[in-house]
Amino acid sequence: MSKENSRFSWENPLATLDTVTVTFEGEPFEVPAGISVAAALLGHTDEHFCHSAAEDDERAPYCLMGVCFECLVEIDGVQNRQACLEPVFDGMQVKRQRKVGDEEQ
Amino acid sequence: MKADVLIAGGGIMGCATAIELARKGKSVIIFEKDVPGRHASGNNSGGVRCQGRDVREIPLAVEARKMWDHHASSVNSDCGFYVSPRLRLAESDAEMEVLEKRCAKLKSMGYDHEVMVDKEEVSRLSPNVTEHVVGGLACYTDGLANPMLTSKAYAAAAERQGVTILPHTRVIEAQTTSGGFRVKTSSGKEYEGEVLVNGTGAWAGRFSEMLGDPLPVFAAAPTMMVTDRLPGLMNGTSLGLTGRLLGLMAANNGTVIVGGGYRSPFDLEKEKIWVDPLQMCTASKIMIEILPKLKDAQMIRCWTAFEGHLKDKVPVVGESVKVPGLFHVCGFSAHGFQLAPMMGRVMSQVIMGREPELSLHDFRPDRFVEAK
Amino acid sequence: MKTRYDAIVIGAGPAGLACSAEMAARGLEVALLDEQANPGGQIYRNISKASPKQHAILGEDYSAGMELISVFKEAPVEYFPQTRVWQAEPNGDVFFSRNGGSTKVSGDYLVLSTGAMERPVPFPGWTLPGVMTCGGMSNLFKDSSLSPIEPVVLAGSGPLLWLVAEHLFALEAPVAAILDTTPQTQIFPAFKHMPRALRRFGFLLKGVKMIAEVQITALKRKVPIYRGVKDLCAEGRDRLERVQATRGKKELSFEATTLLVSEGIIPNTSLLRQVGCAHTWDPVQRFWHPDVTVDGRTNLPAVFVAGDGNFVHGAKAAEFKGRLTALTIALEMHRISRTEYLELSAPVRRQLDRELFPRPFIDAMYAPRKDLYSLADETIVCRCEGVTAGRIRALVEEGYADHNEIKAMIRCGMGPCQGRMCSSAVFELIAGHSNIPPREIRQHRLRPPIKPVSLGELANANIGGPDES
Repeated sequence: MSKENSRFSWENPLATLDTVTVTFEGEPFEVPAGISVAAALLGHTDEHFCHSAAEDDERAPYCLMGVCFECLVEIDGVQNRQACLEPVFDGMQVKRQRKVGDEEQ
Repeated sequence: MKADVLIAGGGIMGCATAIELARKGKSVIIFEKDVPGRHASGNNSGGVRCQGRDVREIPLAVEARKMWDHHASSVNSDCGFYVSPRLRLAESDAEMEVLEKRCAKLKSMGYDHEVMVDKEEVSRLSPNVTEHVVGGLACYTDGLANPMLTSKAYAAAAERQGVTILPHTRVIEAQTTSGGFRVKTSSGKEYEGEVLVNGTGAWAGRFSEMLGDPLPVFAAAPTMMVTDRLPGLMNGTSLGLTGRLLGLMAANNGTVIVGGGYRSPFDLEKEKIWVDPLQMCTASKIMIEILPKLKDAQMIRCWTAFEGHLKDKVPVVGESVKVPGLFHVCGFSAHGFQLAPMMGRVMSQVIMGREPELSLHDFRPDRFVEAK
Repeated sequence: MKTRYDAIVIGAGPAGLACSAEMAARGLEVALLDEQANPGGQIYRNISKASPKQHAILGEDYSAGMELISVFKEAPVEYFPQTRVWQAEPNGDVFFSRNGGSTKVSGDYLVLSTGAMERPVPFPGWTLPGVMTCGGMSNLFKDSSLSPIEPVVLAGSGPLLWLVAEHLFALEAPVAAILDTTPQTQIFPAFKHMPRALRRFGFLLKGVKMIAEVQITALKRKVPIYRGVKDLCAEGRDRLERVQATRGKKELSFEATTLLVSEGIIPNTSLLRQVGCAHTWDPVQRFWHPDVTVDGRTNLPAVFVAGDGNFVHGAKAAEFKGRLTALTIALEMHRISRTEYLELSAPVRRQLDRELFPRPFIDAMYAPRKDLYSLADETIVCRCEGVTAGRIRALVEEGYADHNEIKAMIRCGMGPCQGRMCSSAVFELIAGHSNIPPREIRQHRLRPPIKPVSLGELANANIGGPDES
């Protein structure tokens, strides 16, 4: 279970759990199967998920219950997914949310 | 209480008229059943456009457009106005012909604010527009404004000119007297004036009926929508179509405001409007066809407002033939916002018995009677 | 999925689960739509998949949901997870997005059990990555056993603060401080509700015991607990580095990478308001809640509301409200007789009454404090659009006492959260700086879609009508 730089850790002995591989910004890592994308990313990195709509401030999950829209990411090419509501699955490609109309970098 | 002019309706038309009258020394009272800007004046799509407008309105619209540049001095607010060229797209050669015809007609009237553009200019103005568009008609001077800011600025300017605005005050009775008019309001008070102005928007039909001069104004509730911020996608150019319903306004905050004639079911009595999701879906389909990158855009919000419509789609502006002293400024059929500053000017002229600086013949209140 | 059901339930928390299972048991055709991937709502989030360790940490109040889930799983309810409802109508039409498209489904009855959310209270730095809600932390743990390994500060007021502190202690998480923002005088107005609350002495005792145990553990682990804390502030460059606050004249500062806040729970009323349920202002808890009778009826004949979305009473109460609502609908649809209804509903009513005894005390004890929304000018209120308290207050002072007007002018509430995070604060700023009594202030208006929907999902719609392709 790779953990790059996160302020959280998996509490359970992960060896006993099924895992899946998720890729965030091109970097693959293993997470317990069935968890939310938000949990997967928070367990992996302290980096931000998206930018605020108006001012481009870096943002990360606040409410984790579908209300704040601060955990928006791109999942397998689809923008604006709420990471706190989406479960991970094997091979999922997650990227930071970019704005429609911005050229891809 | 008495005033020279009583105005029913505190929307942008009523306030614009009041400002000009007050500047010319008239005392004015405005009766507003809610607050200024609650309905169409404050909640339209904010288009300040000559493009696509009925040619009968063009002379007024062109003058009005000049006035939009001077709101900072005329009403102490820029009303959130900025230029966003309006490009009407032709999706086929047949549609291109329609646009060419309009362009020629405008030219014959002496107007050159709308110009034909080719495919190359279309992609310069709006690089994300789909391939099948063949050309268009552009109005480089059109723009957008913030309707709430605008209607509030007009109301505030009227008050600074000494106009009395009575919010939450509905006219419940109106009758003619030897000296003009007497109205009774929902607050139980009576007011007298020499002149009465009908600027009651969607309620104009009912109001005019109360005075024995029924106008065929009917209510409708346009559906407007707005997306999340999509910087760069519209390139600052607002779009319209020629053969299909759609207006896409490029707000300077990056959002896309969607209008173009989608309508919602409503109940005027209860002042309730239901957003019809089918309209959102239909608009979305066309939007993606025109700008494929909009597929990932988010519909953040829909809104609607009551508008007064007439079947020939141009307003009623001028004095009632049946009831002298009653002046109508209503029935703008969902495109009155841009005309507002000019309407204030011509209304003040006709109310004060002068010849209006531009003809209002096409907008005369009795035109429907003649047609019968 | 069929296009028509006897009843459509929206939200799979305790109320929605109990309600849909009970209706199905009475022979109704029921669809349950929920935006999460698993049933349970927030309180029982992920319960069907949680490990024994998770159950052990979260305790019996969490595990209590197991029975509810197993009853639900046995019931012939058509369950649609990961379904985002963005419009509902009083005639029973429901529009939602799922798997990249949009669909309409209709019910003779709608039950809206959309639950509750944490009261969003702005403070300086609350937008920094690393600042989260206590409920959010709890959800993370329920979801995935994630636990903080770097210093974490808890700040706020109410039972959830202590509950999450208890869990973090059990997880051996490095808690740096607990900052209780409850004014120390708040116990006095709560006293008058004590006699009624004492009818559930055991419940109260449990709460007191939990807080006492957290205090003992904190003492053992040398974790400071401060009461009557004010001026909470999150600091850091790109993410949280430090939490600051004051207590009396003392300035507090803690290095931390996670700050968990909680200032109470409010009903999540977006869908309720969009569909047109009438609402009432609660002056104690300071939130709008729908006008709902004990059997779930609203002002709209086909629309029922069950659970915390009606008034925040907790998970057990939500379950009972869900069952009462189900029985009422079954009676209206003639699936049970009047006698059966009375027989079946009486014990549920008694259980619900019992559950509600301590609520007025808790509500008064943890009422939002008076200065909760005394926001500094530069504090961001609308997180999406970066609109500050100062800009909103300036408009209110100019006479704009309507969130809808303020929004149209400065976009406060026009971002992706659609005003969910700012509307409480904007409302309080209007209440605090105009002379209008709160119940007369125009509420933030909700129109469909009540969740942002992509144009792709809208274009790919199957919702009937003349131009269906």
